Amino acid sequence: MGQYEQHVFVCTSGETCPEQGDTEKFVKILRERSKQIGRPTDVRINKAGCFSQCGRGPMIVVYPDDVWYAGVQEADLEEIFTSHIVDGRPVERLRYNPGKPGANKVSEAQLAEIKRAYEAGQAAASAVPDAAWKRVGPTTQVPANGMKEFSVGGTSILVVHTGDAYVAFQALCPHETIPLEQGIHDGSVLTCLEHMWQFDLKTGAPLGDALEGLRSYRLKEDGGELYVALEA
Amino acid sequence: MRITVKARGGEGEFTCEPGEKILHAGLRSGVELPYECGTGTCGTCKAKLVSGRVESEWPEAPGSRYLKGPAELLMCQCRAQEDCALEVGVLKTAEADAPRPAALGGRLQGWRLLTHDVAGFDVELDRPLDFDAGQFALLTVPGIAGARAYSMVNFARAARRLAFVVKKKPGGAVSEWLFGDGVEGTRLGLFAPLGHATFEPGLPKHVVCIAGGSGIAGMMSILARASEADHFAGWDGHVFFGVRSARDGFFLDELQALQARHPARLTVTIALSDEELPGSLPAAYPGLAFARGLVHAVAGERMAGRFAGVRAYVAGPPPMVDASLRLLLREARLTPADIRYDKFS
Repeated sequence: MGQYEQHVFVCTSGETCPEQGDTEKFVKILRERSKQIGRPTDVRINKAGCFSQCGRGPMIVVYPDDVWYAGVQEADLEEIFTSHIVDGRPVERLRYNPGKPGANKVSEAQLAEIKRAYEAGQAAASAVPDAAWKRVGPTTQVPANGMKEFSVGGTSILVVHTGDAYVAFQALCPHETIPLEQGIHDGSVLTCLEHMWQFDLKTGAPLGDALEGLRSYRLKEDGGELYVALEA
Repeated sequence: MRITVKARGGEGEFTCEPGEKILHAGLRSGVELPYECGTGTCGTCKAKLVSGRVESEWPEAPGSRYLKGPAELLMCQCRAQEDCALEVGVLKTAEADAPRPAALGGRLQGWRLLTHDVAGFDVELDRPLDFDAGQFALLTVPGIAGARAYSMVNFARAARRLAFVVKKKPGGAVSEWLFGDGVEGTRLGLFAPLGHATFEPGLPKHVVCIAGGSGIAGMMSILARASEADHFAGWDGHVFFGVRSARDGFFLDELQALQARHPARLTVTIALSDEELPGSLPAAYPGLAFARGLVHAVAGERMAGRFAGVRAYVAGPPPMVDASLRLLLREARLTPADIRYDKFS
């Protein structure tokens, strides 16, 4: 018998995991969830050092089930928590099984390739033609940690300040076409109060009861002004 | 008439009698059609008409603002004119032991004023009714179109009597009728039980109730059920009841009696929004706590740091419900599954 019913390790200090996702935030989110379900002493979430599988992160390991997850993104955490921690069903699509025990770091060359691909992905994502960016308005119009609806060339968009960034989505809840501006968010989840549909603020993906996700828009900040790419 | 319903969660089929609302026909047949208010306000029971013909009893219902285009309808307001095929967002799977609603009749009895503008009344039913604590009934009054939703105050298995409270609302046809003469003994139509803001015995959670005005009705049922099931032997209960001023308070004797039955685990706080606390209240109700402020703010202060493992129930006027939902989601960080609420409109 261990001290905890379930013991979850999140790599936060390896060479690549923290670069492949905000793993410190992962820990916070999982701890918050274990608190929410009233089992903070049964479900222990620990920050971990390197699992020696570098390049396959972010990685999370759950004991006593001995289930390893690779390439976990923030949007996957809720599924891992609800399906695996609460209901005991591991999330198969994220399971890590290299078929090789022990250390399994990718080679230096592969590691360089992973980093290059990651940076290239970031760069490609920012390659929106100048003409496609439409001015939204000054950042000062969006309350800190709040939201504001804008109309840009006849399209209504919702701009959310998540605490460290601005993100943009369709302005109306897909459920009942209620303005999402009237809802609330906590930096990671947006809730429409009308019928409690929830959305992931990173991706717009539906959470909980929501059946449809939100269309997200590329947004950039330049000189205190926000610009949106409606077509991209 | 045959009604077929398709949704992402599956499909259903049921018979709708002439004059019967589609929502009622589905629910009494065990098809878990989506709904919240049942009275044309919230828009949750909207459906798309794929084939067939319906007639709406109330085309101007506030909930129709949620409808996108002429093919969409509110099932709580529409009667089928012929066989119909509908599409809805989602069909839940019926919980096996959830009481199935049905139309029934009863007689209004025991009308009494609880405050200057809140009355209590009972309905003696023609036949016994099972319901879950926290559920509501749709009441129809002879000569007044449309149904109104009222939460049951009491809890009993195979209940022969349902207890309700009603707030006087100038301009509200049913409310004005209920505050008029000669209501005692009137026969009423009911469709019950409805609502998902229920308390289930055996729920391994602390219970927090936040209620404004007549929203306390369903909480009384939940507290009665929880008390009967001895829930407060192992779990805490915190009740926050908001009213404007001392003269607006009711059920205080009942709440004090409940608190006295579970002195270690149950707290009841009465929040007065519009006046300073008169010293007479704490003296008259030593078992209750009193506070000045809006009920959600009072609940937020007194529950700070103690929201872990909580199932919250919320009922009252919409602004109060919205403010409470914000508190519970953002400050208390509860998930929607642990927040049960009704919005009265």
